Amino acid sequence: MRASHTHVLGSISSFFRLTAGIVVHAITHLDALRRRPVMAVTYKQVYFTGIQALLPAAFAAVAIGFIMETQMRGLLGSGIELNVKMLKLVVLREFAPLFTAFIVLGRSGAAIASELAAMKVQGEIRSLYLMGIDPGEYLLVPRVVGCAVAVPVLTFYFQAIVAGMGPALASVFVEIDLGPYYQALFASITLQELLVSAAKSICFGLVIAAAACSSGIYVPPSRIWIPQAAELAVIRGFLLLLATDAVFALLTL
Amino acid sequence: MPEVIASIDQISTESFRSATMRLEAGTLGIVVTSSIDQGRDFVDTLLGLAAPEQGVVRLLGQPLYELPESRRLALLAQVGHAGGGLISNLKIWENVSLPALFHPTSTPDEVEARLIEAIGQLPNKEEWMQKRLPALPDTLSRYAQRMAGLIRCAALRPRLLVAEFLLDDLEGEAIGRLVDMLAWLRRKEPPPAVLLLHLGAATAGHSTLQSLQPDWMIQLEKPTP
Repeated sequence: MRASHTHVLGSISSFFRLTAGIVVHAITHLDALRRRPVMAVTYKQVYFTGIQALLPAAFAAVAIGFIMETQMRGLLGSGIELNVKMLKLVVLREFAPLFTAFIVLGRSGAAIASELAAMKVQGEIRSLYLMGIDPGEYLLVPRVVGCAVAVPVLTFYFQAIVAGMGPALASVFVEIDLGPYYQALFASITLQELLVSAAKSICFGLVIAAAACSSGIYVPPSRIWIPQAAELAVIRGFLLLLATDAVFALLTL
Repeated sequence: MPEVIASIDQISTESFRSATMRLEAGTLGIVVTSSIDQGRDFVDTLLGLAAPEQGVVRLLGQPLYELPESRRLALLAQVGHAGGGLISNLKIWENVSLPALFHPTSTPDEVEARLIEAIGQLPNKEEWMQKRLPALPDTLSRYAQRMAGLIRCAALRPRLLVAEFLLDDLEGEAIGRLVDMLAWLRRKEPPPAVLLLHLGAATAGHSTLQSLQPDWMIQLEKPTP
């Protein structure tokens, strides 16, 4: 029993070390972005993680905005102040960054992990090394930077749609005076809240990329591990995102 | 006296024993291996990926395994690797320009000019420009993938060209085109040292290998159990 506990703890500790190591490696090798192929991969990552996720994120944001708005009306009544406060605290501060991160984790995290695992299985990481290309610089830096850039932008986009479209769509079904509602909402948002949200989203981006890279690049070189790498990336990323969110919740008490 | 580009002296690993070779600038050496894994192990050992159990490996005058990894990678910037190793999620034009653009030794314009010159050597250059360069490696034949590896070397202008099983498992015309491209690369200034790996027995009468007029040919010996 004790041996299995030690094994599990060892695996968790090893995963945390690898994931943290990837973040540190990426941050300390940012100068790799000066190389054209590295920058090209970074653009691709931003495009895949950010631009291509705009549509699913918009659908999710409209749905969440609408559901929250109609439910809050039922629970809290028609008072603007309380509704705005709830929307800001629950949806914009907590739900939007986390939900956006889950969308990115499901799309990009799984894709990154399976892509890197496939590259390892096919001997492409060896090929990079033989060409004098540091796989850490070429594979990890663009993915970590790409996610760290794309996630906060996507989160802001998500928040804007939730705040803008949610009440507008809900007003078709429940009585909402949109003018004063938007005025109260935007007046209550502070710069500090926006900065905290951006910082949290950047951390989420780092966590997703690092969990995906560590799940993909450290798998054994066998084909059966390619789908498992994607699965591991999603599960590990999910747990790490919740842990990171909890840390932010404590820090912003 | 010609510059020694790569040398190994009495190197032994898990898959071969007591290998010795010395490759000078402009020369062609052929290493015949008994398996793909043995050949890859040899290349890994020569280029710093797998430290040998014993012996010394020198690349471009440097004792490879005594260097820190960053300097080892910097040396590999002068080594071209052909015969495979294309990155599956990059299109062929990205693959062939990758090492030359990653290592800031040439401008993008120079790289482009070298690529156009290399593709110009091919009899079906229009097809390469219009169909093969925008394609992903998976869609190319084995021959075309290996040719892409040689074109990648042309963009890099390496001091050492390692051609890993370049001519194995191919038919006559494809072999002929690869040999022509290899010969063209060898005429470039400064002429690269070329190390060709080949699967099989050195005594099996490889007329193709002999037609390359190698400066030497060795067969890797399996380790004694």
